[in-house]
Amino acid sequence: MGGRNNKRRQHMPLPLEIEKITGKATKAVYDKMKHDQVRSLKQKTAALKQNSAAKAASTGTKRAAPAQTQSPAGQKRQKQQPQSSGKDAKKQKPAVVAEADSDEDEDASMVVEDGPDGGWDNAPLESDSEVADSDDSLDEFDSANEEDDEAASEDEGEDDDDVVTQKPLSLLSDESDDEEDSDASEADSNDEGVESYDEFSTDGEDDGEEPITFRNMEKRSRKLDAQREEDEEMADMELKDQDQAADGEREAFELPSSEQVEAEKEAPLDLTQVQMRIQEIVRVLNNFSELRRPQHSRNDYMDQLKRDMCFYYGYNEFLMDKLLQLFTVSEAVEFFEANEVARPVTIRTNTLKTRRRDLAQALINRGVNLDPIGKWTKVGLTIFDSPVPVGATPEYMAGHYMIQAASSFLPVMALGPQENEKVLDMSAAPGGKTTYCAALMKNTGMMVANDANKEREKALVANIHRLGVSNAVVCNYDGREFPKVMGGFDRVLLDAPCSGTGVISKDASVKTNKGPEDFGMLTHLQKELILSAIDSTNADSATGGYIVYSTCSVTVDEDEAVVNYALSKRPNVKLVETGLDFGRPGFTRFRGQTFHNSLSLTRRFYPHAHNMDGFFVAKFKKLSNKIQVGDKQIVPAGSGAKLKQKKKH
Amino acid sequence: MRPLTDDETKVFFEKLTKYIGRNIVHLIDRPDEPYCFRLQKDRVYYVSESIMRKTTAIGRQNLISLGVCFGKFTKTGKFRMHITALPSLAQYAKYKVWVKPNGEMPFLYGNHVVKAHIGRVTEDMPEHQGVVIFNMADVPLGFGVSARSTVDMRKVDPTGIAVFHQSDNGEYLREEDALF
Amino acid sequence: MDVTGILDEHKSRFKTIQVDRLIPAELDLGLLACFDVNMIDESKLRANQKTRDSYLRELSREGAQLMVNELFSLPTTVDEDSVYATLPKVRTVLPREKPAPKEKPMTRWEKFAKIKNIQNKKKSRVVYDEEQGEWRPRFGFKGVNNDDQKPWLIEVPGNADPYEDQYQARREEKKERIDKNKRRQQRNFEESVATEKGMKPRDMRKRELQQALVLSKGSTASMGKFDEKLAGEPKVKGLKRKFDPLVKNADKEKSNNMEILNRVAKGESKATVLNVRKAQRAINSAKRSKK
Repeated sequence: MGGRNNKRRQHMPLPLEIEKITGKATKAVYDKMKHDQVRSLKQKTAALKQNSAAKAASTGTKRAAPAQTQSPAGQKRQKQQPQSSGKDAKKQKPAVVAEADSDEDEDASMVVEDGPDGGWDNAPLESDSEVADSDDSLDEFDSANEEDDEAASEDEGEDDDDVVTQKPLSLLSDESDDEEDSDASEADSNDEGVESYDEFSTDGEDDGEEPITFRNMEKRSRKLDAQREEDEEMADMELKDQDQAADGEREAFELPSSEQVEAEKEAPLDLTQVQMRIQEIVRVLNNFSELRRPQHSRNDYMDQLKRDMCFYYGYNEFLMDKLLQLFTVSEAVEFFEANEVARPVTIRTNTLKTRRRDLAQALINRGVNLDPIGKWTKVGLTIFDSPVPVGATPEYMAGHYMIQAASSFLPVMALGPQENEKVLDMSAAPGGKTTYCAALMKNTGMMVANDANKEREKALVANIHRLGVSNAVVCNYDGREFPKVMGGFDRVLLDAPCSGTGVISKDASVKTNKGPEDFGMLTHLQKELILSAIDSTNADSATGGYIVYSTCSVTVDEDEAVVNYALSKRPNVKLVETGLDFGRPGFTRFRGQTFHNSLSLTRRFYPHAHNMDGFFVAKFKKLSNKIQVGDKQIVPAGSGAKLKQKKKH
Repeated sequence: MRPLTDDETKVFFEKLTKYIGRNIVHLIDRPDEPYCFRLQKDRVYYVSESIMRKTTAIGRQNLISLGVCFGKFTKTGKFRMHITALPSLAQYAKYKVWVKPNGEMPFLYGNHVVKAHIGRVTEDMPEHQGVVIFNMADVPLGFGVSARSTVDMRKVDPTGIAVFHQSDNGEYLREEDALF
Repeated sequence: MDVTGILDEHKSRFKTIQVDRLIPAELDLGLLACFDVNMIDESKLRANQKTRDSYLRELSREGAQLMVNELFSLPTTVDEDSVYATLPKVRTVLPREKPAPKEKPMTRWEKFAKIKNIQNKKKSRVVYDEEQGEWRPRFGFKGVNNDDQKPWLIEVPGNADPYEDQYQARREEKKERIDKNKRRQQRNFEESVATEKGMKPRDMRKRELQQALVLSKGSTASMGKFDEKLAGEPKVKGLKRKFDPLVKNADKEKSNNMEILNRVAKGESKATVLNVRKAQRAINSAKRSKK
């Protein structure tokens, strides 16, 4: 399912928050009432959903909310709205709206210019008819809200994050990619323009009669966007009102007693009950001073929450602990929810053989529904649905693209290999990053792809050959042997083996099969690997001397702690900007540990925040091949320095 | 990794000339950088001299692949072209066959090319000669051996085989284990 | 009657039996050979063919004449219808066809005897058999040591098992003696072979053992791949393949490849490229068999 819907869901209030529960009901009555209310609410939300889905369909892509949203769990998730994110969104609103608008303007003009080109334009054209269809039904709904429009217009940006992600990026124009940077600056000056545009969009009742043209279509879709936002706005406000009213009357939440906990171990509650309890606890924890029961400490609540979440999401306690430490309680819930949903399939264009425009054209001709991943990459495409298996199209076999998670673009972009360099990928299989590096190097220089697992190397070699990479050397060593085997690299990419807590959506077995001993072993290995990666790099390289460390794990032990260890063991490296303009900065302190200040230069990516796998990227620059220890200078072997001495440890 | 012996080179070139003829010269004598053929675990790799020199540091057991794999020597000493050589073959191919879109997938699933699927053929293609197969967008799909000469092909009925299948891009998926 | 005319006529018909030689020719009548050591007239030899032939014919006739003259001076015996001359013994020494036999290496006993200065005492072939009252051979047919000549009664030695068959014991004892001697013969033979090849007998034995081991080890279906290794088993060294160095002169390699390509393009047969490995194998095996 598309990333768009994931995001939207998080901004909806949870069902419980709009329930009215009278004070003195018994447990049974309480449950029954809840049930009834949930049901009525379901109907309400379903109606709302249909509208918004119809609108989503009308915004230029054909993706309506699929079946998943109709499942009860899905609906509940959809209603969830963490307070903090709502506030954030408000703050950012004007800039974001403006940005989206200005982009769309450009896109519209591009589309018109490139109009006769053919297939790629079909997507907007097809959706056009849907616009017309959905218009009538929407108009009724809109008219009801007409009066509130003016009042709501100020808050309109509430969900503007979505607008940003939904904004169609132009594939046809490389120019738009280049111009993206300037958009933000333009945005500030465009505030008035936005408002006037809003007005324009709300007053035109007779749009449906206009003939549909490219320009017109753009406007219409924009109008529909705005309308949809209003709807949501309205719904939100309504729900909030209810919520606030409910808060006063609602029975304060009671933690289960220790006997109950014991009893639950014997006969577990059903999932919906557990989920409700999770939401209750989250609500209490978010407003602890008011909603708590004096006899229970915060820890009591946390313990119960942990137990419930372990049960509900199926994690083991150790991992649950680790992950809860990373996030606030409500964000953690978002994180776990995001892990239950598969990330969209993404592909990377092989620029050695084709261009993104040509590839998109070819895939669209096969009926594949796709979009650019985001403005941060010029080679990525997201596949929404496809009538043919994406891994078996003639284009795939001819090596025109690689199926690759969006997150695995990041370390290569951070590494930024250049032509005629000697680059090492320490754990390369199955070759997504390696081939991306080779593509950036335009098949010049030398790309050494290493992997410790011989079986996985088959896929690596196959991908390298399929994508037409001719400068690659594939070898099978333990990465820790590396400066001894070969050294003096201009750039080294270390995508370390990790626990995979960032890719739980891909491999759910991580939830249960990772214990403390696994983490101990992995972090030890990662620390050894990062030192060999640093030692394999040549600081004297004219163009490079960079090391990128990345993991697909979000735990601090495997990320910041390892980077910090490398900084302390190898004073000849420093952290530098990764060159990725999104993602959250790494932790500089975490539960009593303090890391080097420069760790804020590293980047973290989360499934719930960035709609890609959880990921961590750090970029080092090696300053010298010598390490100053006291008075002595030590030269680790293999760094490309002429002087050779014993390796320091 | 080692250079090919004279007789290995000969067997290899004999195979290669079936597809690209005298154009092997362009592989041996490149204007940009010296390239060479090297044998590693029975497979012949085509790699630039400079990369090959740097690769000498990697042990024989640990070296999996370098540059572009052209194919492998069988146990009986014959040479077998692999699909991985396709980009080079396509670049210098003497005889080409273009298949129509409806013939693309059957060929990529490992079937022979029938006459009905052929869009274009190189003129004066003889019988039993190595040909490279393209789709109509000029993307190479694989290679094979012509079953008929261009002249005889006109007489064949539409379901008759025009090109015998040898190797196609689908092998990347079908025979990943055997290929590497 | 004057017969001079007739004699002269007769003389002119036959050549003279007188042959004059500056150095008289040597004759070995036992071999019916005549050795003429006088100078040959070179001018005649180098003249035209007719002169040369007649000269050579004349020379050989004269040699033969000399020998025949001498033959008639030999003592003769007369048979019914012919006269026989008895040839003297051959005086000329002819060279040996085969090399003189080497001296046989000494057996262990001979060596020992030599050190101890034991002389070989000739024993008589026959001994006197007192029971039969006749001379009988010491061994062999009807020899005294044969079983058929066993005593009709054997005294059981004091320390022996009374139920032991003393005849059986005698037979076994003899058999053992024979076997022991055979072993020694074999050992002497092997040692003599080794010394003839100039090797120490122990080394020779070791080498043969190892060869046998390698052969037997390689005789399984897997060519000995899965057999257990013995302690100190020799490592079998196969053929060492020789290849060009991995890194070599790029230009040279290129020109070599071009040359091969040219030959391939001309469609030359497979024989034109020398199969170095095959040739090397042939040479190596030839070397080995020589050893």
